[in-house]
Amino acid sequence: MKRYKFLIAYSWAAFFLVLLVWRCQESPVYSDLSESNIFLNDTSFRHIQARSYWTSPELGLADRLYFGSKNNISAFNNLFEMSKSSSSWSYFLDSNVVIDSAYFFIFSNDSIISIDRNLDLYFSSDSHFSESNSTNSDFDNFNLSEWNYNGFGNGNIELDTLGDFIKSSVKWDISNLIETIIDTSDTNFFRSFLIKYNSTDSTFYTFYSRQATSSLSPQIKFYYRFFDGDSIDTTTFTYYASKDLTIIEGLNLNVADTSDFGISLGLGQRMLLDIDFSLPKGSLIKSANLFLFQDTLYSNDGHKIIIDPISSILDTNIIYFDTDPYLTLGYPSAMYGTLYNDTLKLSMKEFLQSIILDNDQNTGFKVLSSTANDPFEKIKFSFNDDNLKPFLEVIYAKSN
Amino acid sequence: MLNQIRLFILVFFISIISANGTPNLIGIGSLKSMQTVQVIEYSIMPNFRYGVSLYNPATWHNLKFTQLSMKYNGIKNSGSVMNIGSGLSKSILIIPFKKNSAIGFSLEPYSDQNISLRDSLTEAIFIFEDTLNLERDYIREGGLISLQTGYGYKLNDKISGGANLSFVFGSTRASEQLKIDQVSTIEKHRYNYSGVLFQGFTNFYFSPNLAVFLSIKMPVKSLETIYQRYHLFEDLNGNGFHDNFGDFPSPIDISAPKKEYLDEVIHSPSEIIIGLDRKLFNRTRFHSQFSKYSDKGVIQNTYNKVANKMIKSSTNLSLGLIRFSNDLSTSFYDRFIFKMGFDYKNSIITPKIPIREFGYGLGISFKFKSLNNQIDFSYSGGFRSYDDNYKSESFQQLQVGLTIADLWFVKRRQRRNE
Repeated sequence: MKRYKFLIAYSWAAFFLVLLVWRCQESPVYSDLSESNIFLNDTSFRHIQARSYWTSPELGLADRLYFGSKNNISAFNNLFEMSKSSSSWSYFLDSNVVIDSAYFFIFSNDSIISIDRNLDLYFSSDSHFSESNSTNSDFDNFNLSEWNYNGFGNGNIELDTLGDFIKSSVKWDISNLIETIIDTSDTNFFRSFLIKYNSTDSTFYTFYSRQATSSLSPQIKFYYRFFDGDSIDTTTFTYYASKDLTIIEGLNLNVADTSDFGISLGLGQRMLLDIDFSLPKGSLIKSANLFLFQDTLYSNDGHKIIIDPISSILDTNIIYFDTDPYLTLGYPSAMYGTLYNDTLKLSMKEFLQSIILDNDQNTGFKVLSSTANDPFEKIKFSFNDDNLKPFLEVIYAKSN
Repeated sequence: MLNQIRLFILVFFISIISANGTPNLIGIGSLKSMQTVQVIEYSIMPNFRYGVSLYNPATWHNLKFTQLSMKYNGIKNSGSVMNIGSGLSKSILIIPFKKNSAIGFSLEPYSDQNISLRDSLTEAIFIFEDTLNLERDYIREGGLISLQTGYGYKLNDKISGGANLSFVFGSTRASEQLKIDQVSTIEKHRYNYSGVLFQGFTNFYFSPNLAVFLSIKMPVKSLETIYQRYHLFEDLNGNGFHDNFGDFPSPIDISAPKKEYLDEVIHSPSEIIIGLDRKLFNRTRFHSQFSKYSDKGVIQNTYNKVANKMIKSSTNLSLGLIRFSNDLSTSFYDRFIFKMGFDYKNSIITPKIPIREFGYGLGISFKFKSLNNQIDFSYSGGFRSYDDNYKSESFQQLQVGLTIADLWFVKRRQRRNE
């Protein structure tokens, strides 16, 4: 009997050992799969139409501030607004604090700043604007009669120990405004500045806006002493601009030119794109590339372009608007591309797939220039030249 | 005993797996009942022990004790490539009553659908001034399980009858892949099956030397299929699954696939089995079993374009010799059961592709303890050849079984001092 118990125990052990250590081998079997359900297809859509429209330029969110004229676009005035928060300004109301001087700064990565004396600073305590909503039309008939002139700027170029360029700046002495600026008694008090470029020559300069960098944003710097008993602490404090904006002026638009298929940040020109396409339900987009070609007269390589699907149809023939009436889906449906060799090749894969999945509809696209671009550039697309007509190339997989 | 039952069920569900072989691609997969030598394993004649077949309820009344039996097998298929798989092949509980009837419950794989195919041809196409390399793969996983209830009754010493009702169910996950420059585009399909099969048994014991066994299998409800087809996706992270992060498009952007009832019968089997059991020597018997199988199911393209073939008919002849143990002997040698057999099968798969299969098998069992617990080992092998499309392949199968017996429904006398 003991012999059997021994056998049973070892049988169980062997059984579970086999269960645990048996190594399955799964090698694919080679077979003819030409009757597989999935196949690859390609198609091109060439029925693409466009129409330009114009809005009042919105440069509040651009990462540069502009002074000068270029491509028939002019910018002479830049607006700045400092924080309205009274708590930080009230620090300087302390009797232990003595402000020695205050300066307004703007910075540039341009090493040839020679316009400092042509840049005039103005101050206003009751002028304000919206960085994201103010448009050029808000500044029609703009005049400086209610602004206080504060003098012209002084340029400075900063070099490292090896003599290499670091940055350049223009500063204005605003010590005369210290008492006004730190006054926190009026809660409806604005600390707005304006820099006016008072030359009409063809020079063109850019400075950092607050969107481009934090430490080199337009700023006010206070040099002050703090008395603490017998000790005196001499130090500085910096206020960065909370808003800034370049005002585009003298727009001379030829909105009647129906063959002007272009986009420009500074002109406020945008384009509506209508791509006539249909793809089979259930298909999977492998690639979908839209090709737009720039008119050969222009060269703007590196220009960043946004194509944003329109969310609602607007039935109108109006082509000039104060604010853009075409609502779009925005992120993440918006598509981004960069112009290279006069060609914009932009992937529409994700959006076309969402149309196939019935998550979106093809109601057209808005083409606009990114705020990262030079607003004085204009992209003109070719729609009439047979060799440069736009097209959409799609490769998709489909199952039977 | 209850703990052992629980363990059996647990192990059974975690280890149903089998080898990747060409038969797995045929229709609903390779039927388990056709994977081995019939007289060694799937015989309606007594081959488990004297007078008893696990696959014939009409023989179960010959059992003296309740039996719980579990079998585990490993299969090796060697065609153009070699594949090895293993899994539990049967779990059955048989409860005899009053020496004239018995009821049984069993769970066993019905068919194996695990197959991984790779296109023998790669393709290069030229689209938009770019050359794309295409490869195709097809992976099918899953299979069907049969949950059975059998009942056998001894009418008299000459005749016994039995019936087996089998609920066949399971699911398949098929994945078609089109690799474009090494990035897979995958379409997944899911099939859920259910059907009910009936098998009747009648045994005629003409004399202790001769018995004839008959069985008829027919569908009560042919196999029905609920089908789901998932949207194509790009498997960008290459893990074979459709993930929320990494794959295109994201599953959250896709509505769930509709469950579609396929209005087509893909499997409707019927089978006639005749067995002849002849005594040759003392405890040694000769078995011959003939079976004719046919399937009225039709696989259409809506079901599957790749696995669209099926076994339409099959004729099987199986011959074997069995030497049973001697329950009355105390000799160690007399506790063994020896089996050997040969199998010849001729099948037709659509569209009229003949398959010939020759198999051989050996088995040895050992009975131990007074309740006749039993350990079984069997080995079978063979080769099959196809007249068209597929190359010939060989197969080998090793099976281990363990049967534990217990006495149920009998009141034990209490001891006086308790």
